[in-house]
Amino acid sequence: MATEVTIPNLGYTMTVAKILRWLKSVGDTVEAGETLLEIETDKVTYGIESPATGIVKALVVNEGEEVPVGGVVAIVGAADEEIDVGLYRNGEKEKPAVEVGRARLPQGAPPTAPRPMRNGVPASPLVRKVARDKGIDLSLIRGSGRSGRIRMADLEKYLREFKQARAGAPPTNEPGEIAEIIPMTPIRRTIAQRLSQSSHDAPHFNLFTEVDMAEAIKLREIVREKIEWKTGVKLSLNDIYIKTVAAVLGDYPRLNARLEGDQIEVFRNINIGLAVALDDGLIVPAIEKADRKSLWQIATERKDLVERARNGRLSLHELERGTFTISNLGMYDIVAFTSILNPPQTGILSIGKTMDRPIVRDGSVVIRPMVAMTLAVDHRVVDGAVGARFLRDLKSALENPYLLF
Amino acid sequence: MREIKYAEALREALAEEMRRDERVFVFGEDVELGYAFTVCKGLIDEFGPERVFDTPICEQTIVGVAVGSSMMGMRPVPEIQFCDLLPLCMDQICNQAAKLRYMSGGQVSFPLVVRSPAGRWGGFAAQHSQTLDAWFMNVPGLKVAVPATPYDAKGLLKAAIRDEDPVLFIERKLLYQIPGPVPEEEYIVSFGEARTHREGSDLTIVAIGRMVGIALEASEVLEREGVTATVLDPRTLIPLDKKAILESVTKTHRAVIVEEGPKTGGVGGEIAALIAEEVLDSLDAPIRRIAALDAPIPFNSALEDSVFPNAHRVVEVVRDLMSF
Repeated sequence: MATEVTIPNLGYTMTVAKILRWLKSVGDTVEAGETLLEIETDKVTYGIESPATGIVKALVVNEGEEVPVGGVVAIVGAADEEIDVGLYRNGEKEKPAVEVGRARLPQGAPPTAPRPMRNGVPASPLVRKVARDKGIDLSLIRGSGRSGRIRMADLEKYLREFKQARAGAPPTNEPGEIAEIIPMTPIRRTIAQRLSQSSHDAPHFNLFTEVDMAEAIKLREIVREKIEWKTGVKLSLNDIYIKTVAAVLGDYPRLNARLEGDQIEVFRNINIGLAVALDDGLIVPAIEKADRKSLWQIATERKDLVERARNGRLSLHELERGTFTISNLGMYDIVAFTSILNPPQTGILSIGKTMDRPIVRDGSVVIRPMVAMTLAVDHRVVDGAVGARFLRDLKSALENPYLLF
Repeated sequence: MREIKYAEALREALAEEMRRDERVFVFGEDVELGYAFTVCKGLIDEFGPERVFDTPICEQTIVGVAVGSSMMGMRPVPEIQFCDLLPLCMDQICNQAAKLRYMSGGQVSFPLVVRSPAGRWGGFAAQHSQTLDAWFMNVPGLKVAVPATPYDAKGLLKAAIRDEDPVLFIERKLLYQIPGPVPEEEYIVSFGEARTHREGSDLTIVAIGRMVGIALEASEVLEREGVTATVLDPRTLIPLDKKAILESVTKTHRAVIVEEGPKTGGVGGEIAALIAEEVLDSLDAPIRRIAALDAPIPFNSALEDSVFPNAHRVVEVVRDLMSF
């Protein structure tokens, strides 16, 4: 009995997956549970296991192609089994396939256009149908109906604006102007969608402050060796930032919340996300309950998460559980910057480079290691004073880090 | 075109069909004098007591006679003075008339038309104000007509009398005295053909019987607010003009159904289900039903007011729907 290998749904924002690499070829024996291929979604790289033991009868999709969630990518069956691979193509667009097993594989490839989300976005049946027909991602549209419901009027408006934008844009096909066309990767597309939406939907404001890091650096010097001896992990300033931000957030539940319709939902846990830059993309794995963890626990987890982020081995849960984000560009010599909120979170802290600067203290100029911090906040959820008080307390905690313990 | 009242239009239909076909006869409680709603008034003068006659106050017998005589080749048009009394003759209507053509393999047919008024009259209380259209929609073998205008009343009644199958012809008390245009020349309104009273692009209001007027009144208010409604009257519930309903909803993307009977198990539920089954992808908002409350009709007029749908309620529901 032939078994289909399909693309699983790894999260409600997932619509397509890109086939990164086949680990097996047609004719290979595969065990149930053995990794058959690697896919890339908008968030993670993920190994898909064979659901059955048998022979790989056909690989339906080429490496580099995108497949919608639920799409069949391979067929595993018994050695002597004849398989009509044509059944698995669903009459999709025709295109040559990679390898053909015993059965002759008809030409075809699954559609690459992302499907409109079926869950998560409230929209009327009519809107869903039109979006499906036109290949529009509904998560890009802002609904004006009750609870953000997308009505036909919203979709029509979106289409009108899209048309206008296209009409108004300069022609893109002039010879010589474009050196290269790079199709968006799923992760790039997600970043583009989510951040435009965040920028559009959540009115942000930014608060700046400067923190004297002398004591925090001293703390790190004192405990670093012990922690490295105990865990093999080098304590970084980021660990101290995570620990401190989590501790101070405990006093500001409104900053550890999200806006859902017209309700502010305060998260139960404080999970601090740390923005990690990849070659093409940015992901934010989060340390769970960071307020209740010790510095060495945070350091160990942070190291593990960052490493796995770089290797694309994070679970979706690790990426989606964040309740507040820290973005540190200090290592790139950035002095100060602002960030766009990581939806649906209410706050994001941008941290610049810690550097020795002359400041005035008690009437004289002294040199202190200073760092600039910017807190961006969703103004729908909290007002300026709340953000300012949080930042003041954070500054105070970093300047007197021993109070944390 | 001349204007005559709904009751007069029905009387014209009866008279014309009795002239055309001598097998047609009318009978019931007080039909000789034309009580209670004057439809049969004066018919006895032209057609005599053999074809227009009173019966005892016994609804089972009235419909029983109709079933038997139609089986023997006559075309009876009995009147049941209030539709609330139709339950008394449920067996004759639903088990005999509706089934026997099928069960006899088509050897006998039952060309009878049971006429009966339904709905509000004003202070007629719980046993004389009901709207039972939906009960009869659930009986395979019956046809159900609910005319909303004098024109449709006449045209549909003529079609019903010529039909070979039993027809429940459910009139509306409050419409009897409402005038409307009716041509002098003969015409027929076929069963299963809805009538569009008004074309609009924002929603379809399917209205039945007296609710057609209420839907039209509401749609005028809505038009001033920039919302244009199509008002569609199915005219016959069995057969139902599904095509017209589905086509209209496909164009307007929103549907409201207004009926005078109670909401639960009502005509609106049937039509809503049809729309949801067939053209879900056309809907930009939920389907809404506006109906009488699920309550016995009160005698007290203020309470009675609150039970039945009115134009105000239709406008409110549509406003809500448009903002969904």
